[in-house]
Order: sequence, then structure tokens, then C-alpha cells
Amino acid sequence: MSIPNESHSAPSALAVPPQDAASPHGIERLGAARLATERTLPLDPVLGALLGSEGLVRGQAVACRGPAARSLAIAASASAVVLGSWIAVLGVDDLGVEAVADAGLPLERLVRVRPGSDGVRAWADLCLAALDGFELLLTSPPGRVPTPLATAIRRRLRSRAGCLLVIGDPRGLEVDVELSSATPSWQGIGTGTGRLADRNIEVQASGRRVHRGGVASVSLPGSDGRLHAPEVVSSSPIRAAV
Amino acid sequence: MVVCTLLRWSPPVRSARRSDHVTVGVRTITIRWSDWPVSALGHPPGRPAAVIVANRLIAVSPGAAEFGVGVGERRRSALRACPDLLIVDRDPALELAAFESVLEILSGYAPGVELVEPGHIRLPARGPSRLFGGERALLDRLAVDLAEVRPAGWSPPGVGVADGRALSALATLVSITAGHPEVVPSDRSPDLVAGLPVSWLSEIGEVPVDFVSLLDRLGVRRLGELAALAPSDVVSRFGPVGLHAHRLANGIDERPVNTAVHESTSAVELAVDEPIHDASAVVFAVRERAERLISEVAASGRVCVAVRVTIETEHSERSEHCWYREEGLSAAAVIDRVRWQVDAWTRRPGAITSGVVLVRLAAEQVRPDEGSQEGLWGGRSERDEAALRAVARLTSLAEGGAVEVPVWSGGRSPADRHRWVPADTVDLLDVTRVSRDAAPWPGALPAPAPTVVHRDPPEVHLLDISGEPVLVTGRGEMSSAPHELVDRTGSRRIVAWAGPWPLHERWWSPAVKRSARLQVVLDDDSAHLVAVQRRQWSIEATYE
Repeated sequence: MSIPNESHSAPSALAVPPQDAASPHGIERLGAARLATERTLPLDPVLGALLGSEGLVRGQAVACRGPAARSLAIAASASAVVLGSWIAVLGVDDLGVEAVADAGLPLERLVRVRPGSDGVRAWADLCLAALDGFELLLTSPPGRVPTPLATAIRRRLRSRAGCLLVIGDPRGLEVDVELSSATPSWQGIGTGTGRLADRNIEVQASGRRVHRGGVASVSLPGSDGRLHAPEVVSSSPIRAAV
Repeated sequence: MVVCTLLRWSPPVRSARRSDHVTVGVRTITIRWSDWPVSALGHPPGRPAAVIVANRLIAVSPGAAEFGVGVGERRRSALRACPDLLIVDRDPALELAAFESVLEILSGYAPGVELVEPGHIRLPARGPSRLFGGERALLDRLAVDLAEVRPAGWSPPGVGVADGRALSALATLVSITAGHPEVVPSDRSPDLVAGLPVSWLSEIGEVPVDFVSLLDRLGVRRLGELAALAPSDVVSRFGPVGLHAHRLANGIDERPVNTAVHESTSAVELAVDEPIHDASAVVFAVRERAERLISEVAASGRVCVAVRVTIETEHSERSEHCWYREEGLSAAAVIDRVRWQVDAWTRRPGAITSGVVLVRLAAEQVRPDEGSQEGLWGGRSERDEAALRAVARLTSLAEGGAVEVPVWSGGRSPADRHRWVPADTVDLLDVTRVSRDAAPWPGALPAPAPTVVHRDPPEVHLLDISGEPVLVTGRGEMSSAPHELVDRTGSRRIVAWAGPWPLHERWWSPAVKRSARLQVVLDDDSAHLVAVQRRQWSIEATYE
């Protein structure tokens, strides 16, 4: 399967000697592009810009915090589910499914798992089983996760190359990236007038693997239930987040 | 006799604008009588008539169109518009029998007529346009010849000329809408496609319908928008199908050289000593050959897109057609075409005078089977399989709990628009279980929907500025403006609120008291949906 390349013709790309690794020409670039899609799951470009990454890096755990934690977790997973990934929702029994659908996440690949008991061990077992077959797992630990269990989950996450989205406090789970939200402001509602329309909120990415973290002021949810980016307020080098 | 050799592709031509992978499709004419199935019935155009497949009208006569009956309508609604409407099931053999005379006319123009279906053909433009002095002259001449095909009153066919099959098919759709032939010069292809809906790609069979609905969900509706996406993104997300669609959206109608349609020599033959006199016996006899041919092609990882069906009788009469299908021909599709061809032949008076002694099937054009990213467009992907296994495992693990999936059920409150049902009681791969009704229920709350729907709504008190409880009257009015919300943990001030939205859930039942809802924003910036029932307020949902 050849892939079209806007600026470089195939013969010249093929002619690039292998030692010329620094060259941005065809083969190398295509190789990198392919690797990128194997390494990541599709992600909303607004969040991608915040994380400085094309997608959700497989094998990583992302914590979503703050007053828009759930909306963030849903927005972060929607693109991947649209493109064929399955998502398990574990121990978040009161998740509003309409909000999930409005965010553009297709419900046909969403499965909700309700643990039978409140114990962390039962939750962890379900976590491991879900990571075996689902590329996305959205969860919230029911209690403090002991280190051996956290390590087992981490290892399974790496070997299965899925993505773990934690709502709220990770409670002992090791996370690579944190998306935190702050200073929400609801639009469209008055005192006895209007309705909740959309929420402006600041989202910040942090973590040891986030190279170009910044703060973005976003609309989450927007009036259509989806994530929108009106502007970038940070001076850090975020690529086109609008 | 219809002589049919194949459209031959020009040697790769370098395009100035694009990379060297791309070759330009050859000039191709597509002619399509979109109402052929109904005109083939032989009724006058003024008679309201329609042809139906799977309860949907696929073609209507001008007489029926006058009543406002349109393609795509269901039988019942069409009959409501026009009670005298004649509705007939589709009969491709009848359509083909009526189309043979057209094929004979066209064979005088070029020796490469491809039959997509009766009333829909393609032929190379280059040869005949040279012969007649240019494409315009060729089209004028075609218009004169084809005017005789159907009685006055039927609309002229859509005619599109462009670089390559798919672009000419798109041009033909434009032509049908516009009412005049559409000629797209080689350098204007991108202009032709940019404004067209993405759904037209599936209309002409170039991409699966699911691909279109997937793009639709991603907000890509016009081919110009698809063209604007980076090719590498399209390839990585949608695979070869996406790449093909992206090229077409850019006005490039040619698969890359290494995946191009090319000619094949695979052929099978059924020769019998005892002439077969029964059409269905011919079809039956050829069945096994068709399966062998298609599985042979498939074994080399390819699909057959064009098959030539040749049938000969004891008296050396001959029927030969080259059938083309962009999506690829399965054995069943090949057998169908043999049946249409034999049936059409026997229905033309005097065309066949003896039994069939030879049937030859040749897979004339094949292309690599690009797979189709199973799962995105039907079928199971590896990811589906893995998820199904995990669901089974989780179900056995979640003792006392549950593994559930949402099923659409309608309803007005956030809690009852979808029901959760055990995952092992439904077909997980049936996507229709979650499809939402187009119209929201009356009384449904406007978007955005809350992200937390409390399973056990916590009871709260709503107080006004003087500390009195707030109530909603029978007429749906607030007794006073809510000022604070008090729950177990304490009191929070209400900084904004909207509503009430009355909810007469079961208005026919006096046992259920009326309830109403408010949206409130508290001084900690949290937003909630609170409901009152029997004077008791509770937090039904939260916007987190």
C-alpha cells in the first residue's frame, strides 16, 4: 500500500540512502507516521494540542480532575471510540449516558461494568479483565489502591497497549498525564431565565511525559455537548488549538 | 451480437500537481437512465408507475412524479400520495431485454461498453470522440441516437464525461440533477467534486455506506472537506478505503499503480453436449463454475470487478455482456447476471432459437482485495472480537454486579432515555440498539446533558431568601425565587437557576403527582438538575 506524499515523489523517497536518517523525506516520515498511529489512539485535536501529542499514547494512564473531570474523560475517549475502539466504564455507575452520546461517543461500543462489591480487590480484578479486551477503560478506584495491585494494572495496561482514564483522584494508581480543570463558568443561565447552555473552563495538562503542557480555556461541554476551544490563554507553545 | 472488449487503462501518465504515485483515469462516458426500471415496464410515461425493492421505490415514472411520488419513498406513503400508483417489483431481466437495443446502438460507438446494470453503462470516450470530432460533437450525436430509445415524455439520460470511471459516474449524477450532459475537463475535476455530498461516493458504489455515515459523524459532509484532510491522517484512520475516497475527493480517479484494476485471464467454461432448453437449468448448471471462478480470484487476494458472460446456443447464436461492479462481484452476483442475461435473451422474440450449449465466464478485471477495515463497516474486527471475549470474562467475574450496555428507550428524563440491559442478553454488534429517535421527546431537557445521573437522588431542601421552602404550583410556577440549597453536608447559595420545566410523566394517572425540574448553579460553581415531587426536592443529576 503506497501512501501519497504531497511534497516528495516516491522515487526520490526510495532513493534516500538508509544512513541518511536525518532526512525528512518519504520513507522515514511515513515510517514515523505509521508508528505514531500504532503508538496512539485517536484524540480530540484540542486535547491533543494541550498534551503536545497526536493521540492518547497507548499504555498510558490519564487522570481527569476537577469540576469537569467526567466531561474531560468522555471528550478524551470519544474520537477513539468513533474510530472503532471499545470503551469499558468500570465502577462509574451513575455516568450520564446522554452526555456521553452528546459528546459524540458512539454508544454501541460502550460497556458498563458494575462491580458486585465495594472492595478494591474486586475492582482491580475487573480492571485487569477489562484491559484485556478494551482499548479504553474509564474508571474511578473505589478506595486506596495497594501498590501491588497498582503495579499489576500498570503492567497489564502496558502489555495490552490500552489507555486508562481515571476520573478524579487516582488513589494510588500511577498516572502519566493529568488533565485538570478549574474555574468553571456556566453560560446561558440567569436567575429564573435561560438554561444551562455551555461551560467555559480552564484545562491544564501536566505530567512527566507532557513536553509542552499549557492551559487552554475551552468550552466543555459546548452547547452541543462537545468540546470546543475558543482560545488558548497560555503563552506556552501549543499548536493551533483553535 | 454485442461485441465487448474492455476499457483499457492508459499507461501511467504523470500528473503535474500530484505525486508520481498517481495516474490519471482515462476519459470515460457514463450514461444512466435513472428511471430505466420503470420505463422498461412499457407503460406510457404519463401513467403513474413505480418499481420497488425492499419496500422502497427505486424508480418512478414522470406520471408518478407529478403526484409528488419520489425515489426512496415507502410503498404506503407513495400510495397515500397517489392511490392509482402501479407498483411493480424489480425485474432486471425485463430491464435488460428492453435495454439490448440501446446496447446495440452504443456498440456502434466504441467496442468497450461496460454494463453496470440495465440503463446504466460506461464506455471509453477517447476513441469515439476522436472519430466524431471532439467530446461535444460526440455527445450531440449520442443525444440524437439515444432520443429514439424511449418514447417522448421520458426524461433524457444523465450523461457525464470525466477522467475515470468514478468521476464520470459523479458527473452523471450532476447531469441528472442539472438536466444536461456534464463534461468535466481534465483540469477541472477537483472543482466538480468539491461541492458534492460525501454520500454520492456510496451512491456510485465507490465506498461502503458505513464509511459515509462515519464521516458524517465526524462532521465531514462535502467531498471538499474530505479533500482538505491530510492524506496521512486519512490513510492511518480509514485504510485503503479512506485513501481511495480521499483521492476521489481531490478529483483524482485512479487507484495507485500497485492497486490498479488490471486485466486477468481467469475464465471458466461450461460446455454441454446436450443443449439446455430451460433458462433456470442454465443458471443452475453454471452455479458451480461461478463459485470456482470467484474463489480462484479470491485465493490470490483479489476481487473481480468485471466479468464477461458469454452464452452460445446450438445454432451459434450468442449473447455477450461485460458486467462491471465497483464493489466487486461475488459468486451470487455473477450468477444473478447470468440469470438476467439468459432471461432477457429468451424474452426477446426470435433472438434465441435453440438450446444453450456453452456458457463462458471470464473475470476480465480484478483488483486487490483491500479488505475493508472490518468493524468500521460491518463485520467483526479484531477489536470487536477482543471486546466480546472481555465482556464474557467480565460477566463471569462481576459476581453480584453486572455488565451492561445501553439500549435506546426514549423518555424525557436523563435517567430513562437509555436503559441499561445485561450485555449477554443483546447482540453487542447490533448498532441499531442505541440509535436515537430523530425527534427528541416533548419535554426533554435541552443539551447539554448531565454527566452524573444519581441512582439514588439525594434529597435536599430549596429555600428562598427568607428561608421558606420553595414550591412549584400546579400551574408550573415557582412560589418564590430559590436562594439556597441545603443538603446533609450544609447549605450552598444558588447563584443562577432556570426553569421550572414541568414534567407530567403519567398525566393520565392521578396517582402520580406532578413533578418539575430546575437547573441550578451553586456558589461552588457546580451545576445540578433538581426535581421536586410531592413537595420533596432531590438532586436528580449533576453536570460534572
